[in-house]
Amino acid sequence: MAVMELKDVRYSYDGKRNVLKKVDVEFEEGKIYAVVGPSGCGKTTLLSLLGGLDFPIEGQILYNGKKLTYDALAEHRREHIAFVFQNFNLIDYLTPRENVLLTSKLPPLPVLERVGLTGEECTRSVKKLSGGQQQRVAIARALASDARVILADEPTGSLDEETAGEITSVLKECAHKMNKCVVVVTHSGDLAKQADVVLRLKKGEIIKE
Amino acid sequence: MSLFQRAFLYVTRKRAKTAILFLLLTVIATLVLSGAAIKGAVKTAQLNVRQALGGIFTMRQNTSDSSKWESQKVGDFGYQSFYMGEQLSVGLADMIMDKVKGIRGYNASAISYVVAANAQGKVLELLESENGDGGLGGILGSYGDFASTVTTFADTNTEFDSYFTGGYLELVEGRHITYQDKDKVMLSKELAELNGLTIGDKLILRMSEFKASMTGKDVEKTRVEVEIVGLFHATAKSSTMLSNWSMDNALYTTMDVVGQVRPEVLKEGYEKINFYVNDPAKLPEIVKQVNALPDIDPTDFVVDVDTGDADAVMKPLENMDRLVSILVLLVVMVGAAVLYLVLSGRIKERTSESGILLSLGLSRKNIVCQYLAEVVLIAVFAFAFSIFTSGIVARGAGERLIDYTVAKQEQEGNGEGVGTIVDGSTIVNSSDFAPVFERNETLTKIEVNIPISGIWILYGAGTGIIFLSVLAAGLPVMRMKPREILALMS
Repeated sequence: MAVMELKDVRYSYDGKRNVLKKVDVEFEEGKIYAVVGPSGCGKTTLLSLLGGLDFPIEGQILYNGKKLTYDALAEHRREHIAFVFQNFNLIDYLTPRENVLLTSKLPPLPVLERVGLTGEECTRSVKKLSGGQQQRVAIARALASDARVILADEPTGSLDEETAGEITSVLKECAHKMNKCVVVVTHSGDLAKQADVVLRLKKGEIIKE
Repeated sequence: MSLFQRAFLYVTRKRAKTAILFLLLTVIATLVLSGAAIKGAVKTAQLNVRQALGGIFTMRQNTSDSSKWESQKVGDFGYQSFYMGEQLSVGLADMIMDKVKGIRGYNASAISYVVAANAQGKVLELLESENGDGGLGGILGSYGDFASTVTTFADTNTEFDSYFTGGYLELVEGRHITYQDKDKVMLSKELAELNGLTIGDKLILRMSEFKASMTGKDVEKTRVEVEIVGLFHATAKSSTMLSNWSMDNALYTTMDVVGQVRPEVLKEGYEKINFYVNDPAKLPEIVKQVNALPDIDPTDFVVDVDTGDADAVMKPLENMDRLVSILVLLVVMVGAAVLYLVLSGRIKERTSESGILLSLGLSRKNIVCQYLAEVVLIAVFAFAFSIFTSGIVARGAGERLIDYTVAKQEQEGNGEGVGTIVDGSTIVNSSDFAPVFERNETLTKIEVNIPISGIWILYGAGTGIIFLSVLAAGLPVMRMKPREILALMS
């Protein structure tokens, strides 16, 4: 069963030009989805609708089979969604452990160790971690929130090839071993190749590959 | 992780930012608390001045009726006019005390000049003063033992003597003289030390030989032995026509003693009675009641209220009060504006952090409350620290401010005539020869203490200002739309 579903979703910023037109797509747990397409095709808009940061003009968004209402968006963000961003977005005066504790519903250290951080790295200032280590912390924070859906916006965009490969593996592990629904917006062909499902956005419509 | 934990971690790890905010809050709190402390001290000083110099009315004989004056032959010297009208008496003062409520005490007084000797009959060695002995004083001083005479007050209760109530004199040893006392005397501690006298020692008072020869009296018959019961100290400088008549050489005794030494004083009675009311604000009403008493005949007595002393001392205090109020208001306004600007800058710098926390599902309220908790946490320590710093600042600034306002007042003067007041310098007694005191430093001296109430107000008002500043500075976070968060994050 799909954990999230978009049904006939239409979205426009100005009411004239549709960024998304009649989008129908389902997202299941245990799978990694790659959303690809040229800049301005609506990838980030799709992510913001799934993450409850915005609301469609037409159509429905369902979580666990239930329709999301505008008033329930904040709760949806808090309870069901976790974000991972290109620039990691960690709180710089907190350690990795404390960053994870911000949203943690699970003990932070096992989660951090699971994404490949050592005990010493967990108590270091995040400013003293490498880019790859910081992205691991961001993923650990997403996992620790126990959200069923992880939305990642260009998670490997600022990392070197080797580290990007490691982060891709961690995201795949989140989907396949931890049964999360991972939706990744990316320009990276390598990451898209690793995805279970690739959704190509073109002129506001989704083409499933 | 709770917002308080986040606030604590921010404050302890962003040390430079914490230190800057701590300093800013300490400076603002120190200035406000210092201002409040100085204001409180000024209010206390004003109250003390009102108690000491305000709330007094004086009853004198109405000497304007020439029919009540009688010319009498005085020895071989010639004739002298004596006022023979109704005398100011203790009975009259007691009657007023009985019939009019709100009077806390009185002192009837007269001034005279006697020669004082120790128990062995040796005339007391007198203290030299910087002034006097010029002009008429120099001429008078050269007559016989005139230079040995000292100013002598015949008081019913020295505690209510205007020099003591005005703070010009203070009792340093022994006790005051009261109406029940017989053959008792008070003198200055300095004069007592110069002559090796202490409490309980005896003095012999007599008329000067020069005066006795003029009035045909026998000096021996004017002698009276008195016991020292109190020593006083002058807190301000005074000036007199003759050095020997200075306050340092003055004696306080009772009318029975002065009447024995100088019988003509007894003939005229007390020169004035000073009444002290409990509440200076009720003075006009009390004076009205006294004037309305059937026993007070306006042809015999006049009642007047002289607020000159109090006004002269109060003016610098009032100026200072006004100045401090304006300064405190300015500090609060500028402090609040600076605080808002600083917090605004800090929260703007942390827009990204706000976005991260919002994307993690934290509410806007929770985020702004974290920023508020951080400032409050720093403020608690800054305000506590300011209690010590404001103590130092308030004492220094308070003394400088009072010196400034007093000096300004002295420059401006009050435009009144000779024999009245120039900033607390006053002729307290009616006699033209009574000592004139300079401005009394002790009256305008303020004792600055940080009031407990001020600390509570600082914490209350300070937290209020911080709350409003954080709320105003946090408006951009409160207005942040979810869609903007993603834009910010991406």
